[in-house]
Amino acid sequence: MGRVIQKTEAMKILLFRMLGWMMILWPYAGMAQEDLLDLLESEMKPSREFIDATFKSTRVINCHSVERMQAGDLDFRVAHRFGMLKGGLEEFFGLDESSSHVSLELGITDWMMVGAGRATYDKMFNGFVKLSPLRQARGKWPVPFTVSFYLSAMGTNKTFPDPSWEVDRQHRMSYCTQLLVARKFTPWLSLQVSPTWVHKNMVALPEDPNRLFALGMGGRLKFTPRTALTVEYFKVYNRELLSGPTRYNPLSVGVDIETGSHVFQIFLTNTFAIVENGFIFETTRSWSRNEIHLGFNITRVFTILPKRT
Amino acid sequence: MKIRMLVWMWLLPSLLLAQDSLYFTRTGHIYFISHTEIIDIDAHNRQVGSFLNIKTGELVFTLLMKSFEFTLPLAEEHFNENYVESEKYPRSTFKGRILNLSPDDYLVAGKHPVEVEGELTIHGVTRKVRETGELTVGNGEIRANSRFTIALDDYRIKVPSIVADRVARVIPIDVVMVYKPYNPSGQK
Repeated sequence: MGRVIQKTEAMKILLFRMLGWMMILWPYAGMAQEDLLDLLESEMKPSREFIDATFKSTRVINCHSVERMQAGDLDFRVAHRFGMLKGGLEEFFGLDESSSHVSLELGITDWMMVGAGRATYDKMFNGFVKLSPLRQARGKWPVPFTVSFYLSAMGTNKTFPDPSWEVDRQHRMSYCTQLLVARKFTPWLSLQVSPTWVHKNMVALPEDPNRLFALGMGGRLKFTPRTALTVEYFKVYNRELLSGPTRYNPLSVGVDIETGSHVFQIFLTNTFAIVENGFIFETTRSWSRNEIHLGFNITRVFTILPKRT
Repeated sequence: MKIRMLVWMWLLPSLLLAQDSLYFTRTGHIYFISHTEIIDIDAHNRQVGSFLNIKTGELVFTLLMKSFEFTLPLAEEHFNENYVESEKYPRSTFKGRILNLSPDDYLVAGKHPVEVEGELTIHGVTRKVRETGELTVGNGEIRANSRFTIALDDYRIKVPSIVADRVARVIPIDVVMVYKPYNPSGQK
């Protein structure tokens, strides 16, 4: 019994001594673990960082993306929508027929770009401005989305079927207003919602609505650093009120391929028109009837005003 | 006596830890250029952080890849998105030491050629490197200059064949740091 007590006494003394040494050595422990690189990282407090390249191109497919050309970059774009694939060999799977759009688009500042182009469909000129007041950012003052406004005017100089219709310039105009909201969720996944209003100054019949609202949705899924799968859909409200052939919701599925200063977008779509008044008002083809067009957008970017660093 | 010794043992580490041997900058400058017959692509990063411990010769660097500003804006996007994958590997760091100077040398005004050895991490790949540079001591600051090259292959930075003739495989890098004595509370 007595020996047991002795043992616990000895252990107590040992414990106190160990505690004493630990207290003495404690301040040195921190020294050994001092890592200069860790100290440096904590000194370099995270500043604000913009999330770039939500999309590779300024278009998702038909629809504008939140992206802009950067200040001083000029984009030369050529877009094609071929005829329907189901045309078969006689129509060479639609390649005999095509609707095209060429444009020049310039980044003015990092939050504003302008562009102008011409579409064969309905002989349409168009001009636009795209502003990005809010850009997705992390760090100090994080912002969850990039928000862009897209404002565009379109005018046709086509001859109407009956030359006696003297359509003045005003009635040849259409307008599109879009709010583009996108988020790059991960480096490989970006999604965009695009409420869209298109107004045509002239429509086929007096009962036809002049203005349609459409809700656009789109996204891209990067599967390699330079290629991505893209999808885009517009739900066009009140499209059944339009006279003439049945209108459908535009749906497009494609692939983005990036090579240096070029981006190729190749896709399948049920739209034939390329600018907004066309594909929102006049998509008369339907995926369910196999009325699918092959399309592509090619862009070539020229840096005309180098950034000063 | 015993008590006094204990007090000293407690105070000593905090005296040793007094960080007057540390020199610091958060605005270091790194410049690189990819030179080819077709196109020169260059960028500056003026937000490089670095510590130099003159007592031990320890030298550390850190930078955000996204802080490189390119002369060609499109190149900046490609750099971050495709080449160095800045989302996945946001930082490049260096951790090493100056081999040939003793603590007193850092107090002698004038130029000192230096040899530096350590681990350089870029694009998630860490490699042992040994480079040379020059320190200039004077006016209460230490200036460090170095020029060295890195090979893209060493850091598994891939260049697609389609742009193969537009991107140099070996990139010269210029480093300019102006260190001031480190003041943990004061530096903002």
